[in-house]
Amino acid sequence: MSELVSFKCPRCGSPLLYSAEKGRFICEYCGSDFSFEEVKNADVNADTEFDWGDYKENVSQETLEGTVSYVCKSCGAEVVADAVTAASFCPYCGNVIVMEQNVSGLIKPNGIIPFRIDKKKLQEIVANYCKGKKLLPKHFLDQQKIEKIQGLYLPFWLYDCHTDGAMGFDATRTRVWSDAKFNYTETSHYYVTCEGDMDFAKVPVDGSHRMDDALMDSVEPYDFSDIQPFAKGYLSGFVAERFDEDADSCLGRASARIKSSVASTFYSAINGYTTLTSSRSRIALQDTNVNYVLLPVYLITSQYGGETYTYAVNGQTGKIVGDLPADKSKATKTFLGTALGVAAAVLALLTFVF
Amino acid sequence: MMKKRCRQLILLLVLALLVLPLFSGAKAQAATGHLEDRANLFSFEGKLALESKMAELESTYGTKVFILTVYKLEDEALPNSYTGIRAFTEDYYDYVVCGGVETTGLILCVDMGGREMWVSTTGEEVARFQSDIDYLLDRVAARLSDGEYDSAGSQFLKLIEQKHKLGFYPPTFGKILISLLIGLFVGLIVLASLRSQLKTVHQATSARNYAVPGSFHLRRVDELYLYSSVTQTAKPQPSDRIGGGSGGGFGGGGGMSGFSHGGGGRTF
Repeated sequence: MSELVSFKCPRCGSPLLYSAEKGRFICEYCGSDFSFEEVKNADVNADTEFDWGDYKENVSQETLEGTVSYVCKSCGAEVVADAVTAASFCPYCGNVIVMEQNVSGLIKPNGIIPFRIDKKKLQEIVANYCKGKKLLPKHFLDQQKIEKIQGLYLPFWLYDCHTDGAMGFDATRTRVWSDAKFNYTETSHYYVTCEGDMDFAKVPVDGSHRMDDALMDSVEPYDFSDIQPFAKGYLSGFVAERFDEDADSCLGRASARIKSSVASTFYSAINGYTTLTSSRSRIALQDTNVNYVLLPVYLITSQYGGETYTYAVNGQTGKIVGDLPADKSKATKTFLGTALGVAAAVLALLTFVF
Repeated sequence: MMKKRCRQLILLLVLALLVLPLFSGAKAQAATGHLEDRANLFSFEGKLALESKMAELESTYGTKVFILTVYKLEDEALPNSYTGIRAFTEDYYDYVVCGGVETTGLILCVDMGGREMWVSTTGEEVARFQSDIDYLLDRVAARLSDGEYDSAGSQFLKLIEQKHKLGFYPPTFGKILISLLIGLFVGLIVLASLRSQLKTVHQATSARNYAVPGSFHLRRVDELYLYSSVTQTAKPQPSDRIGGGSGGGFGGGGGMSGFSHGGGGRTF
């Protein structure tokens, strides 16, 4: 049975919730609010150090699969959750719980970006997002659905690395001249090689298998200057997940992005040719360092036409992304209305002017 | 002022005296009716109906409409003075039909010898029919081609009346088709644009945002010359010929009156 951590109000003992708006912990029962330091001092379970150590060597793979059960400290109910849940709510009493084994020890995150967008702001963001989207089904993102969504701390790997690269290009230069009878074009062909290096910092890749990679890519960027040392208190009031794709398996995605950027940087740096075509490249990642962080995301799902649509809101910046459905009826009306309207306008133009 | 007007009147009279003899077969005087059917194309009833309609058009819309048919246009003008159906029609309308006075109206001239027709507009009718003259010509020419001369005449008058009443002609199938195709194309673009608003999820392919500023160092760039190739293309030489081929079309230019005319022609 797993050990649970919940955060109690130092004054009344009720569960504490983290307020993204105030950046403080709120007690909904007595109305008190506390800074992280105040909660930490009152909570013996709170972290006291910021561990940037290597996560990998002692990760227990057994905990990545299956389920775990926990007992709610508030009501005593035994609840089962999947193995990657790091923080959640007790379904019986609503008490905030943190799965201690998923956020401590060697798989403890190195850092966390706390939520900066609260639900009130989120509603504004979603409402603005829906504005002007004529094909969006009516009531697809109504307030009821938004109120049901949950802020989620998702596991991300941040890769730092030095890259060293060499590239080869097929290049041409052209020279044009003419005499009385002919125009001449001389095309000179070259093979251009170059070498260089470049550094990257905090390239993010989500470490959650069930999260759509493209969705998580799209919710970027995060302001990583806002990374805080991890403390379980930040999870209070939110759902959190532990990684289930390790840093090695996610490195490929980071590597592809980094190599693509290096190649395009080389390409931009080679000047003085009429054409330049990449023919060979060798880009190596060196001195790779990785950090495990939790990043804030609001996930909203909605059903339409028998399909589930998921979109995400960056919990720090408020950037909202997601593939949303198109109302077929609206699409048909818009298409026919536009087509017929334009056709009528063109016809009038042709009839009366030309 | 009076002196100037007198000078203009004398000039006009001189011009009229010069031009009128060109219409040797035509009555060199202002026509009193609206129809001169020298080619005997119209039936008796047809003539009556056309005359009546043209009189109605003149009284209702103030436009003087005239229809002229001839066996062979060259025979209608003095020897060596024929310069084409357009000039003949315009001069006939200006000097014979209107007596040298600038008027608002139309004339349809049908030359059975050359199997061609010309519609000339003048005064306010130039602008009125400018965009739709082809529509009118096509319909009249089609009936002339079928030998339906009464119908061609009545169609000519009907289209004039319709233009005055409605201000436009019903669009042709070609115009409707073009409009629909443009409408469908724009509709598809708008739909694609609105759909793209709903798609904001894209796999990231670049890490450019995470490059450490100023960290890129291009240590070495080497260039290896491989080979060169030269292509030559001949310069266009100035042509020995001056001008292009002969142009087609009707008539040999405008009439002599100096009045502005519009219109067009067809063969049938």
